[in-house]
Amino acid sequence: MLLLLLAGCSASRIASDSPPAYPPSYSQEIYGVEVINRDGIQLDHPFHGGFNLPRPQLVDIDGDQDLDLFLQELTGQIKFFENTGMPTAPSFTWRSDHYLDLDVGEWYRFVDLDQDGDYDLIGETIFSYVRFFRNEGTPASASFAAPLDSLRDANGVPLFIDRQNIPTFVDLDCDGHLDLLIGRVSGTVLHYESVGSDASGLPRFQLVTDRFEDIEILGMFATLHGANALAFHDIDRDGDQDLFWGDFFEAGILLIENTGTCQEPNLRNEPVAYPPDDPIKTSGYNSVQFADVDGDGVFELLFGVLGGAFNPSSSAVNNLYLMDPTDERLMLTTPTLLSGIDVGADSYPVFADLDGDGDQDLLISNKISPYDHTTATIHYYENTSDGSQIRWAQRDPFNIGGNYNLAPALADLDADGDLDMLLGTWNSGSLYYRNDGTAETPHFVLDESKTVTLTRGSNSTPTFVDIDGDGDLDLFIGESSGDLNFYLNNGTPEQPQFDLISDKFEGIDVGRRNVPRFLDIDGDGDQDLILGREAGGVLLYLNEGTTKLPLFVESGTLPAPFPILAVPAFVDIDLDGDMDLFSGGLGGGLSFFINTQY
Amino acid sequence: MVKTRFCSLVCLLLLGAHLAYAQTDKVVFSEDVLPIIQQDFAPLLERETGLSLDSWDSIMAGSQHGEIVIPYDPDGSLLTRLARMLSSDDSLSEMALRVSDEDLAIVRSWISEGAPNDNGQIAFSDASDLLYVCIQGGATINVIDMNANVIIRSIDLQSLGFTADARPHHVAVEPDGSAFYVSLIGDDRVLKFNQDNQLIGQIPFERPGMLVVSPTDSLLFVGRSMKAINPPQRIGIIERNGMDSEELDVFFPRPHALAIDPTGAYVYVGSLAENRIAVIDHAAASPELQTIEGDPHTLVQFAVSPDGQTMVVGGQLTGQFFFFDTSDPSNPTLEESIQVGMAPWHPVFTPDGEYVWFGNKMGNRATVVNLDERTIAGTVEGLSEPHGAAISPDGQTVYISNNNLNGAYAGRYTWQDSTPPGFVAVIDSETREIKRMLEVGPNPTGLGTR
Repeated sequence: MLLLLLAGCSASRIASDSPPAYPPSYSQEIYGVEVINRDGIQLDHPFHGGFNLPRPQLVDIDGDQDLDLFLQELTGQIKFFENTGMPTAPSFTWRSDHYLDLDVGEWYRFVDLDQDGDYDLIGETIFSYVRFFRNEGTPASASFAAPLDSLRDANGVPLFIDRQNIPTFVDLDCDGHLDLLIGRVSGTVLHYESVGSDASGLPRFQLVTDRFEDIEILGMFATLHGANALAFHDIDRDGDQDLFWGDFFEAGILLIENTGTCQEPNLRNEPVAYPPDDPIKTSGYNSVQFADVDGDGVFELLFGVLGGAFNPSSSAVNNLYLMDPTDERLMLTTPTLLSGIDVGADSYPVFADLDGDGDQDLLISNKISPYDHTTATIHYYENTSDGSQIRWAQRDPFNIGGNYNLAPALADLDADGDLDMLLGTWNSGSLYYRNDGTAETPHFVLDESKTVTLTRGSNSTPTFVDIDGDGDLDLFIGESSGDLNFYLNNGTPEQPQFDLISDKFEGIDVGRRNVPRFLDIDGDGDQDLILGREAGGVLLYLNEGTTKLPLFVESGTLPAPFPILAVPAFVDIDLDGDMDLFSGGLGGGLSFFINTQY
Repeated sequence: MVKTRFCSLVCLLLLGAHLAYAQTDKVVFSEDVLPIIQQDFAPLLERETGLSLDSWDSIMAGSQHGEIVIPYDPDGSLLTRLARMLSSDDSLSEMALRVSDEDLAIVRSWISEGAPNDNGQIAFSDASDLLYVCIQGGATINVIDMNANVIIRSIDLQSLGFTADARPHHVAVEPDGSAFYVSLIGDDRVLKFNQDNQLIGQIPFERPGMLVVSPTDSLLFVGRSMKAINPPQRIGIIERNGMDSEELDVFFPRPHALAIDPTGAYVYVGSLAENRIAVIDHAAASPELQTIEGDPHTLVQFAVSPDGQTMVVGGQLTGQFFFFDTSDPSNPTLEESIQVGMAPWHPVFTPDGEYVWFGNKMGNRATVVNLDERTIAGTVEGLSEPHGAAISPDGQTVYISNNNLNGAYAGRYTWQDSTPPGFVAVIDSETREIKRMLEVGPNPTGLGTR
C-alpha cells in the first residue's frame, strides 16, 4: 500500500516556489494517507468513496487462483478490487471504479455463459433487457467483446428482467447446461435453461416454467411491490443447490432448502430466515454470494445491503458483510469488508485548521446519520501528520446537529482570530455558529439571528471569498436547484453584513446540487470559481477579471473522475506547493485526486 | 405481448381475407356486419347475459358483463377475440371455428373503422365521464365510459412506438378532461394525450411512478416507481403545456405516494422505504419532512378529501390507515390510524367526502372507511389483487382495478394466452355490490378520472 510522504521529507516530492502550472493534472488515489478510525484501526481503503448499496461478486478474473472482488454501486459501473494477497489470505487492492468502462446497466453477473473456461459478463441493457459481454480473452486476461443484441429466448424474444430484480445463473439440475433463474415482482420465479447459441453466437435460453417449483415469495407481510436478488449455494453440502433470496420487503435473507438431488432438485419447501437460529437483519434487499474467500474449503457468505423497506439510511454504512459459517453458527467476520472513510451518504468535506496547529484538518459531514435519523453529523479527522507521513486520526464528531445535509464553511467572521462556521442545511438555510472558544479549542454557538436563507430551494452550500477585494469575506451559497446565490458583505471584517445581490449569480445553473468553491487555480492572482454538482464532473469558471472586479468565464471541467454529487475540497495535503483535490459524493466517502504537478 | 402474438398469428391468417375484402365496397353495418354477428357470433356470446344483438345500439351497449366491441380495436374486442383466441379447453372453442375467416375479416374491418352505425356514427364519441385504466401488463390504456360502464376505447402504446414492456403504471387527468398523462415505468417516460386519445407530448423521465396534476396551475408532479435498484430521491415537476420538467429533492429514498392539496400550494410525497412524508411548498421549492412512528409502514398512496381538510394514506406492510388533519395544508398533522388489513393500496374519496375506498391488495377485497367515524364501514369481497381506485362524478359507482396476476379471478372465458387477464370491478357505492367485472388486459394498475 502506497502512502504519500510529506514534501519536506521526500526526495520525490519537493515543494516548489514557482506557481503551479495550469491546467492542473490529478491522479486518483485510494490509499496515500494513513487514516485511523476512532477505534484506532487503520482503514484499508480510505478513499474508496463509500458504499450505499454494494452488489458484490467474487470471481477469479485473472486466473491467479484467488478471488477478486467486484462491486456495483452505481448504475452502469462496477468497481474492481484485485486480490493481491494469497488464496488463503486475501488482500484486495483497488484497480478501477469503472471496470474496463463496461456499462452493465442496473445489475451484473460474471458467469461462464459460453462455457469456454473464462468468465463472461452479463448485465442489464435499457430497459430491463439482458446484455452479454463475451470474454474473448483468457482466464488469466479477460477481454470483453462489445455487446451485441440483447439475449433472447429460444423463440427469439428478448429476455426481460425487471431491472430491480437481480437474476442468477447456475447449473441447477447438473445436466451441464446453465439455468437462468429470475425472481419476479409477483414473488414467483422464472426458470430458463441454456439451449446453445444462435447463428451469431449469442446464447439462447428456453423458458422451462414461469412458476419455478411453485415458489411464491411474498415476504413476511405478504406484499407485491418488490425487488429481489437471487443466489444458489449448496449450504447443507448435500450435493444440490439451495436457493437464497434477498428481497426489498425482507430484512434478512431467505433460504429455500433443496431437498431433492442434484439431478432432480426439489425446492418446494417453505422459505426460512437464514440462518435459522439467528437470522440476519438489515435494512433489507440483500444481495448474496457464497464463496471460499480464504481458501479454507468452506464457503463464506458475502452480501451487500441494497436497502429495502426497513430504513435504508441505516445501511448507508456497514453494508458489505462477510460471514463465516462454522459448525455451530454463522459468525460475523465484518460488516465492512472494505474499510474506508464512509459517513453515510452525500458526504461533504471541508478542510480547515480546527485545532490551531497550523495544518489542515478534515470535516466531513453527511446527509443523515445512519445511527440517528433526526440529524446529520459532522465528522472530524484531525491531521496528525508528523513531518514524514500524512496521517489523519478520527476524533469525536462535532456536537452540532438537528438538521440534514450539513455543509460547513469555516472562516473568521468576527475577526477575533478563530474560525467561525456558517453551516448549510437541507431546508433551514445557512446557520451561523460563532466560535466562542479559541483557535485551538473551538466552541461553536448558534446565533439564529444571523441565519442566511435562500429565496427559494433547499440544500444550502455556503463558501466565503473576498470577491471584490475590499478586505472582507463575501458569501456564495449553492443550492439544490443548481443555482448560485451571491451575498455581498456590506459590513466589516468584524461585523459582516451579507446582502443578497443575486439568487441566480451570472445565470449559472449547474443542473442540480451546486457546491461553490474558490481557488486561484490558474495562478494569476485572482479567485476562480469551481462548482461541484450532481453529475458530469466539477465545473471551472476562470476569473478573467481582477481581484476587485471578477469576470467568470466557463472553462470546462476539472480533469478528474468525480463521483456523483461531487463536493470538491482543495488542500495541499502533501505540502508540495500545489493544491490537491478531495471530493465528497453520493457514496458517503471521500475521493482523493492528488495534484501531480509537483 | 398478448397483442403482438395475436397480430402475428391471427392477423397474418386473416390478411388474405382482409385484403380481398378491402377491394369491395365499404362495410355497412346493417347489411354486412349485423347478419354475421347474429348468425355466426351469436352462439359464441351465450355467456354475455343481457346482450341483445338486435341493433347497433344494443350491440354497442354490451352485456351485463361489459362491452363486446371496442371501437377501433379489433384485437381487443371481445367479439373478435372469441372467434380466434379461445383456448381449446373452453367449451365455446368449437363454435368459434364456425366463424369463417372472411366473415371475421368483415367484422374486424368494421371495428377498425370505429364500429360505426349505418349513419357513420361512432359509439361513445361524446362520452365525457371517462375513466382511464393503465394496462401495465399489456402496454395499453383502456378508456371506460363511467355512465355505460363499458370500455369504449383502447390505446395501443406499441402502435405509438413504445415497447411491449412500456408498462403504463399511473394516469392523471386534467381537471377539465382535456388531456391526460400516463407514466411508463418500463420505458421511462411520461406521456400526454388529448381527449381524443392522441399522443400530443412526452418527456423522458427516470423511473416515473405516481402522477398528480395541480388543480390551480399547469404543473404535473411525478413520483418514482420501484423499477430500479436505487431510483432518484426526487420528484419531477412537469410544466404541462410545454412538457418541460425540473426535479426537486425530497430527501428520502423511493418517493412514491403523491397528492396535492386542493389549493395547489402543497404537494405531499411519501416514501416506500422510510416512514417519512415530505410536505412541499412547491412555489418555494422547499420541502419539510414529517416522520410517522412505528414499524416500517411503506406508504403506498395518498388521497386528500374534497374539502382539503383530511389526507389519508395506507401502510402496505402494517395495514395501518392514517388520517392527517390538513386544515393547515402546510403542516399535515397525524390524528390517528386504524387497522384496515393487508396492503391498503390507492385510496379515493367519495365526492361528498363521507367515505374513502381502497383495495386491500393482498386481502383481495375493497374496504370502505367512514371518514367522520374513522371506522371501517364495509368491505367488498371477491377481488383479486386490487390496485387502483376511482369513483364516478356522481359518487354512485366505485372502480377498482384488479391485477389478478395469480389468476384468482377466472373470468368467463379461457383464453389461449395463459397470462391471466385483469379486471376492473364496477361497484355500487351504496349497496357495495360488484355490478360487473370488466375484463381488461393483463395487470391493470392505476386509474384516473378528471
